[in-house]
Amino acid sequence: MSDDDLDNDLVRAAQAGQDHASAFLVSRFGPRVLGYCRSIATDLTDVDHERIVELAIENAVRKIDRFDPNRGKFGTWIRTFVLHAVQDWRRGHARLVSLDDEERRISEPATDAVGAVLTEANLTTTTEEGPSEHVRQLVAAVNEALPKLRTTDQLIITMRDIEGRSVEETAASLKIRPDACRQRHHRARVRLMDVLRSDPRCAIFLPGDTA
Amino acid sequence: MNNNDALARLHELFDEDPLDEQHDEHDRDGVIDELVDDALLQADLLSLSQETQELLLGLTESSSSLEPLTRKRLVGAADRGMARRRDDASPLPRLLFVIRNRDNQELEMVAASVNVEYGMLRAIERGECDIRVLGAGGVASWIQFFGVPADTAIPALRATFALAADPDRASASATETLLAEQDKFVDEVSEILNNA
Repeated sequence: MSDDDLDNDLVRAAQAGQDHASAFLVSRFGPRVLGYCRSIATDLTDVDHERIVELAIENAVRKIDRFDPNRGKFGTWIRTFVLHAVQDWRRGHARLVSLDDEERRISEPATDAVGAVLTEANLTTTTEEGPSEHVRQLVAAVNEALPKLRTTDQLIITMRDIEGRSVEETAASLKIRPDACRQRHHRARVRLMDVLRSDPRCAIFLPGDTA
Repeated sequence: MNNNDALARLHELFDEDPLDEQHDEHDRDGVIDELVDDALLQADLLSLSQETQELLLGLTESSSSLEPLTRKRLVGAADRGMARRRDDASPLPRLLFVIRNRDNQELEMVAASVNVEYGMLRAIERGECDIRVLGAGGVASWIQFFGVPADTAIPALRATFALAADPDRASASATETLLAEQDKFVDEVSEILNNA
């Protein structure tokens, strides 16, 4: 039996509500999830990493019914929870550190390409109720656009923009020069924008380009 | 895929897409790029192609040993996740009871806030009365009072009806077929929640 089969058995046990699955999930994924958290949040402390991984594991297990093995591995899926837990952690701490910055962001609305005000109500990603409908649409469009890109574009966007790794860290992992990393990242973003422009859901964000 | 295999495959792919000798970085559109940046932060890694996922795991795999105390805390977190998953799968009245209990709220205060008679809400919470007596608006208000997201509340409401159809079972699936009028009621509640 392969590792993937073992992982899928374990996930099925958790989905069936078998309590013993908790300990096995932690044995199997805990070290990798903690290692991943440390690698994408190098500025945080070990105590922070452990707390973030706790939150990520709790949320992942809570939503384990939504995991579909046909879309990828559980190891990839749980990384998404770590990423979101890191972002929540940073947002929570940023609020504590500086409420002033938040007030400034709200009082200085951005403008879109045709000059209309992109209001807090329709675009912000951080309202108390969660992301606005427009932002949800953009996230859905991005999720659909990513797999349409070249593998290397997906990879470099993931490492730079989704995981937040620096140019130097990304270049080191990919064994390429930092300037090559910058160029490949830039091209990948241009291609991503091209795909998004063809998506009607992005018309409000990329006006004039959508058919 | 191990790290060496992933690197070899990656550089094959890079060779198929060589870099430009002259590379001019165009200015990025600040506002639009920030929005896409925000959207990317909420992206789902499972939306990546299978090959990208394999390469990502192969290139960025890192592991940290777990101290016994850390392992204990992580197992505790997984156990809490299992318990919350069970709560999420509860029929709606039980789900809202669990949240009320956790938040230490008096039922009388909840009833007054959602404009429902206390005795009626108590009977519904105990499973002694059909939830539909509240009407779709009343059920939506009850859900909104506790801030339960629609994607949690609606399956719970469906489970309420499925369980009512066969109360001898310990649990019901939120995907079971409901009677037409129950389906209609669920749709009405869902519409109110989604339009709120």
